[in-house]
Amino acid sequence: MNTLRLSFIIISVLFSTQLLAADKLGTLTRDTELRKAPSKSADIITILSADNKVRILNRQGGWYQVNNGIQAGWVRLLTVKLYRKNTIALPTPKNTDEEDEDDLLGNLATGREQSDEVTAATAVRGIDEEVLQNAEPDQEALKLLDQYAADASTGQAAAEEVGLKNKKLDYFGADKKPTPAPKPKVEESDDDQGDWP
Amino acid sequence: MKSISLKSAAILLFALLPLTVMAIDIGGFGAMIGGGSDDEQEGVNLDLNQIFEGAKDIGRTVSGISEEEEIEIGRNAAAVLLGASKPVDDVALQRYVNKIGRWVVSQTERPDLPWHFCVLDSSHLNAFAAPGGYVFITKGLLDTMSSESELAAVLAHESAHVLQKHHVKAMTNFSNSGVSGLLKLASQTQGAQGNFMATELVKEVKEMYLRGLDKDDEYEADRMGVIIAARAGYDPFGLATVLQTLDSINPDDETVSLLFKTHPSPQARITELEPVLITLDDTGAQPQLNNRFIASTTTPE
Repeated sequence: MNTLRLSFIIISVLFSTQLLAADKLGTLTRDTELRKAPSKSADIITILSADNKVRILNRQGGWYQVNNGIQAGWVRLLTVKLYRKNTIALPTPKNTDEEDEDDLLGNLATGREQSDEVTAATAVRGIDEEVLQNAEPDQEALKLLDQYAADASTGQAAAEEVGLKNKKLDYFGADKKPTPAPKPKVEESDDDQGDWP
Repeated sequence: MKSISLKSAAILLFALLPLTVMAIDIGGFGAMIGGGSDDEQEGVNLDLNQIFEGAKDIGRTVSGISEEEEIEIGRNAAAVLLGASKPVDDVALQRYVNKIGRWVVSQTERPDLPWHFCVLDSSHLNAFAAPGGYVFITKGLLDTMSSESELAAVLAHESAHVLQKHHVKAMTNFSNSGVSGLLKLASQTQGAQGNFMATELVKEVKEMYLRGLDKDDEYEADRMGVIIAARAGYDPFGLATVLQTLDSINPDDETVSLLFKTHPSPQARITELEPVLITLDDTGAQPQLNNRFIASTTTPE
């Protein structure tokens, strides 16, 4: 790997990590305990009511660290619905017309810089119904897949490289019947342009 | 039609011999879904859900498809997908996704299938699987992710479709000629003809991907996917955050047109998954692995 490529990766990692989970916005879908730490046994700071708007600062497991403009703490991940017009780190639109904003909706907050290069690299036609309908089987491309394939020991090495440890865990079984989750109290409103924390 | 008679036989057998069905369920692959310990399985609940699961499994048994046949159908299905979208021309990226995928499927009940993973050069957001161990994810979907735990979760969801043979089920359920016809078509693609692929099989594969899988099979793959990701040592909430991202996309956006047409809504999937995720609270401290993911998926220009 040459120095230039390495530098690029390091810069990318630093930049992207800095953006990670930053500036994601969401709305609480139900009344939710705001806790001091990402644990159900952590102290409760307060109860945030459904429809509270929050800025997502971080994530650990099933918890988001959020700030509602008054307080910061941790809420259950699934109590948050991401804001649909969540378009951070995008090139600044030339104007803020509704139509232009809509055009950006595909570029969601990903913690990545959406550079022109990325756009160019991925600006191929996607797989939609028409493309799939007209597809001719590609046996040559199928052969490429054999070149990419990894064996089990290579997968194991990739896990060990970062200290991933496997564990025994049963599938969610019929004996543990799902109980219906609480229904969201509020529906997301696309047009809600209120103040975000 | 042969398929109808086979299904009828299955139903008859199931109706007459419920205890036999349950025995097959417990002894067969279906037991894995229940997943519980021996103690849990001893207390077989003769409720409708259990019986329904048993019926589904005997359906699979009757289909009688061998692993070789499954792989052959999968090769053909994969070739069709690759005809719609080429692999991203980045060997390092493809190798990375294969390493992660292979580690993930090593935690499943079918670690020895010839697993292949591939990033498709498509700006649309989607992931696919094909029977026998083919798993595809689009570059568009990969670009919305920020951690390896999200990638692992999506690969785990797709591999669950392979484990459960959801595609074979979907194709035989809708095929005019049933499983025997499907196998005949797949076998026609082999031999001296080389690259020839039966037109009828191509058509059936396309219809399957355009129609999508059974809604309940998608929910099942979600439930299994988070467990498989947790088994592999990842923070299993990666699938939830991917679904939240999908949920935040305007459904009219063309990049999600096929995904949204062929899957239950992201919000419905999140709701179905919540009871499973609650049981995984303790695994939440497992790593997300942001840095390796970003270093491995960022293509320098």
